Amino acid sequence: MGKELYFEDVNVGDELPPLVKEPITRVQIVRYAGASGDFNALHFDDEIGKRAGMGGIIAHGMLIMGFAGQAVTQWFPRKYLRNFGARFVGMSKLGEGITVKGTVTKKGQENGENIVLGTLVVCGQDGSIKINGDFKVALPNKA
Amino acid sequence: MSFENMVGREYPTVVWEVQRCKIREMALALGDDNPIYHDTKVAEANGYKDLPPHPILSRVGNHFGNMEKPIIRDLQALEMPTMAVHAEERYEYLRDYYAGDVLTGIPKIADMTQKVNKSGGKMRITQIETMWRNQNGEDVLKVN
Repeated sequence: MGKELYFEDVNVGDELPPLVKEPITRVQIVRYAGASGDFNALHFDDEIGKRAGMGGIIAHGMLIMGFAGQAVTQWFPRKYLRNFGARFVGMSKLGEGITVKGTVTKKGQENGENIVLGTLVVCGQDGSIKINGDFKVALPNKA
Repeated sequence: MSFENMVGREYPTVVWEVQRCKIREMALALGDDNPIYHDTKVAEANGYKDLPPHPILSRVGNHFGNMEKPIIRDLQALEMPTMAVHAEERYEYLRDYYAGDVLTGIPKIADMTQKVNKSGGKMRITQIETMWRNQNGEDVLKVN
């Protein structure tokens, strides 16, 4: 933190350092429910999870998007983030170890800013895709 | 009312008072130890006015403001689904915001589409767009 990242430092095709999360625990899901205010029973009541065909509770999709947000603001300073999107393609269960990977796909100019675009893929340790996403950051030039 | 008639419909305004404790709590829940979300001195040293909000923090405004409840109720009145899941989420960050700011969001049904999923099931996708504005009336965050 504190190391300035410049537009010139980033190249199209750069693979960003993967963020590897600890396995999802019940307490993490509970903490996310409390923090966000999303008290949908699918996320804390095993019976409801089973009845919905999930085999038990599932993590909030937004908890997983939160992991992706953590990765993006490790790769690039938070103040440079302009856009961040996610498509939820798979559910995440207790014990799944999530990894967030990112790739720089484009560099250009937009509204007088240096823009970097990238994609991100969030997977479980079995390779199942949870989220396909993308981000846009605006980076300064080296002085 | 039909599903098509719902497009363009606005729903009740939600007011969200941004709090520092929620910024820390969200980062802790996510297991994000990036010090900018926890330590005001580190945040200020990195060019922020205070702890910056996590990229997904506005969910706090949604849920504690019961933003989606009346929308889901109207959708269920037309047709009760077997299940409701979050399909997509997109944030456009327009202006910085911090604890102490009061953001106001007016949700709007931006689009309604139908799809068939991999197992042949029918899916109805409702796109909800919210522009969060601050106490000065400035656009801060656009969510879809």
